[in-house]
Amino acid sequence: VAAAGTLVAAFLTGSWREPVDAWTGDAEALGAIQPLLLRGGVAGLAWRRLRATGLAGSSFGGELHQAYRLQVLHDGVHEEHVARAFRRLREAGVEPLLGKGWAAARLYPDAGLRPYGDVDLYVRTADHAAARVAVITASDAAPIDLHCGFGELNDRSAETIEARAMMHTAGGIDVRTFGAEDHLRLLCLHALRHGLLRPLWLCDIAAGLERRPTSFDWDRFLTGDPLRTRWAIAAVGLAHVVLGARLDGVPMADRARRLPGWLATSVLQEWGTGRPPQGAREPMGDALRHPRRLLGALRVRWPNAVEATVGVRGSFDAWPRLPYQLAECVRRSLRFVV
Amino acid sequence: MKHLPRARRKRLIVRRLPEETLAYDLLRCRAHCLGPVAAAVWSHCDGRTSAARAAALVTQETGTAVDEAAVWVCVGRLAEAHLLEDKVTRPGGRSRREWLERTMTVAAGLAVLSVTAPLAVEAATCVSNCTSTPQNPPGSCGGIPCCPPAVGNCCRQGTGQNCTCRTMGGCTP
Repeated sequence: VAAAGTLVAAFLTGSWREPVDAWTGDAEALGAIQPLLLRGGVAGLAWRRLRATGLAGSSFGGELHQAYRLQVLHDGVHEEHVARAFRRLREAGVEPLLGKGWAAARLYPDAGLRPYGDVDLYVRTADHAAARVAVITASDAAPIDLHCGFGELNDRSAETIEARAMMHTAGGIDVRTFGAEDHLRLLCLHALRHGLLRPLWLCDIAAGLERRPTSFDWDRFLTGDPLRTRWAIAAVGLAHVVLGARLDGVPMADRARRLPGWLATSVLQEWGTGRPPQGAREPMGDALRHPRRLLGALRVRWPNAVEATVGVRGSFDAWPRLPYQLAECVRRSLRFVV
Repeated sequence: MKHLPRARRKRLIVRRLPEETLAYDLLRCRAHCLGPVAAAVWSHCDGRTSAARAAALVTQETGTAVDEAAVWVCVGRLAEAHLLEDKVTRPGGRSRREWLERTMTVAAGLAVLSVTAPLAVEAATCVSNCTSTPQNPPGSCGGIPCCPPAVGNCCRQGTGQNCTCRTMGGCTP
């Protein structure tokens, strides 16, 4: 499993760069990890490394190519959703901020390199009720994940977040996204909270790191809850250690490189397993009614070391992770019961 | 002189890549991939250009020798993919098979392929049958975006409920 994860990481190394290096592995290696690449949301990035090689025409390469094509088109569909959502919310007097998904795809040289899901919109807590009504009552609503407040960035003020927001054009209208520093921190914290299950999330961090604007304010990135800041630095370190992201000009590069040994191992093991992320799993309530499936449902929910550490607000240090994982299980069980 | 039909423009998302053109049909939730010749023919489907004129233009634009027969084969494939506004009536005198035999040399460029999602990347596309979608894993709705005109993601409100296209929040884990 760890070997497959390592191979996935090698395949993705530098896949966000322009120009990109062609993959030099063989068909056997590609065949071993291709399903993991598809499940991990990195088919487009993998295709980018494969397209100039002899494996592009193989059946494995063909599926990656198809996924890339769909992502190119889905970018257009998603852009319409984004524009529609912004129009609706503005009509209701709410100015949202767009994060992850479409905004993260702008970090790559080509919009088809990343898959799309929900439109992640963040609104001030005071605006949430109005925004929710606007989205629910819209007959042409887009698939929206409406966040009350600024999620993992709620350790900084709404005013400063909005002051650093950036404008993009989607579907012919201006849409507001997080500033580069806030967005990179959000991507780091979100990926860790979900245990870095998908390789895509670490690629987002690597792309955000290497393709950051020259005006990137590292002090701004590091501002906020000290524990979350340490997590964000660890995520940057993981992007470097696992995917070879360059740390040139990163002031806390030395701290980022000092990761406990278990951290990268845990991520690579996860990538080699290809577990479905939250939201694509069988509901726990269903599994409880079918005891035969219960064991599988519990296994797929066993928190990995990364998500357990974040779940119980632990530190990424050298201590064993099992206590964190057990504590996270208890926390989740209590939440489920309540 | 027989003119080419008009290309469909509404409810389509089109992306032109260096080696191919991609089109997404928002009405049918179908993605299509057009080879360079098919894409060039499609661009000349305006209801005014004759097949002979289109053949000359496409030859010039793509560097592939294309004749009138090839243009009509392409138009037929574009029609099957619902990428044309008007109904297609080929000039008489030849069967479809004869047209195809005459155009084998540019067959690759003529291709109008359907793009289908590998199962594992369904999250990158959409489901048009949320309420009856095969459940994978069993019991799950997948959280996959619903195809227009439906909106939202294929999710359930709570345990034991049916899958529906939901616009708010994530899926019940």
